[in-house]
Amino acid sequence: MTNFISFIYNSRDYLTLFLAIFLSLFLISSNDNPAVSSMRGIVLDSYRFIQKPIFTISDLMKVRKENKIIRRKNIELSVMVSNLREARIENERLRNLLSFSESKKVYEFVSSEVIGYNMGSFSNSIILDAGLEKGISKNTPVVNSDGVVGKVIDAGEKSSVVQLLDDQNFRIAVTINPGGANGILHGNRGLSDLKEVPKGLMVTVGDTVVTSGYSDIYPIGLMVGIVRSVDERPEYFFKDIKVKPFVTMAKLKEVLLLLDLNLNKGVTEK
Amino acid sequence: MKWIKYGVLFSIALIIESNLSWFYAIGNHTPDLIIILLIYIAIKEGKIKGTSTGFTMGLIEDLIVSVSFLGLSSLTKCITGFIMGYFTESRRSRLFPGIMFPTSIGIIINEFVRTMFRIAGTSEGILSAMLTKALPSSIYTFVISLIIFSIFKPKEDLI
Repeated sequence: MTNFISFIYNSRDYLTLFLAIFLSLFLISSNDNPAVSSMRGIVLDSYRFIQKPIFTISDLMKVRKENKIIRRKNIELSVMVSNLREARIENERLRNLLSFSESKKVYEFVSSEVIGYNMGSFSNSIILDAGLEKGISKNTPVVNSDGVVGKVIDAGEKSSVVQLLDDQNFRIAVTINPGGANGILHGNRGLSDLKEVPKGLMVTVGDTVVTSGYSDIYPIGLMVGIVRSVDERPEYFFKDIKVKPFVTMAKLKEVLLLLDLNLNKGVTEK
Repeated sequence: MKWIKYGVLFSIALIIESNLSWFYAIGNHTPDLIIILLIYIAIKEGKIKGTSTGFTMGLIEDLIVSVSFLGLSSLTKCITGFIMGYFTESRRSRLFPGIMFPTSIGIIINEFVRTMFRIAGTSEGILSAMLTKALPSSIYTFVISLIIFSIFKPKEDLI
């Protein structure tokens, strides 16, 4: 017994290391466990109290410069809205002519401030000042005026973590306009990779990439990015396409979260 | 008292990483400030405290800022804390008189283990990920650590 105790005592450094490695591997394998998710929510909510004032101070320093840009953008958007309104009226008229029926999801927009960034070579996330109490849950789509920002991966009561579009593990089903080719966008810092697009389909530099609506998370037609390069290698079946996201992740201040009202209320609108 | 100081330094590093990383990022690469603090603590406090501090810091970092793999930072940081303590304990410090070698080993292990987990399930090749992501980030962290350690020396006889 004494030998065992002295063995434990003498090996306490290695035992500590072994225990820490074991606990870490256990946590890695339990990432999808709801208990782990709720633990993260509690920690996020606590951290929000420290994070928010600090972020506000650093944010105030950039306000004047951004105000100018926003005013200019506001004018541009007003013109765009007027054009879109006309297009919508025309679209509705043509749909009526064709007796086109559609089922669509109804979304409610919830705005939220960004109160933290995590930028790295692989993982990119932001922390939002809104959580479960505003109806936000895992996989809630996050957008801003430029397009898709990402999706919520964890939500606390008053805060949530968003996986950004340029995160290495981010995937989104997209359509390339005007050609209509579908593919899967793989997140990456800088230019994202658009995969699974067969060589036979027409894709050119400058084409717009939008959400295809095939996933349960994102509605159809959200702006994602612009095609920057298209390559074809003889040894591959698919095109090698690089896409530049419309959203500049490092400058995010405010975002919108799309709450699926059908999902929340259990109503399907026809 | 010193653990309160470490706690405050850790909070500052965490806040800087989660608020101001865009400010000092070079390309897509940012230094890991928490690993620098961990190395400092492990050099001063030894293997056991280095390991447990690395685990705790990594876990908090995972809970607050990591997107996926809760437990990954705690894994890499407890290993780094142990190795730093191992290298800087008296017998080994004669073999490696200075902190440049153990610091670089600690940073590289942290970054490379993290990279291996991150690319699992993606189409990115391990060599490409190591060269384009892990290595530049390691070098950036190492440079920053040398600047910090030349001002705040963890142990006089190790510099």
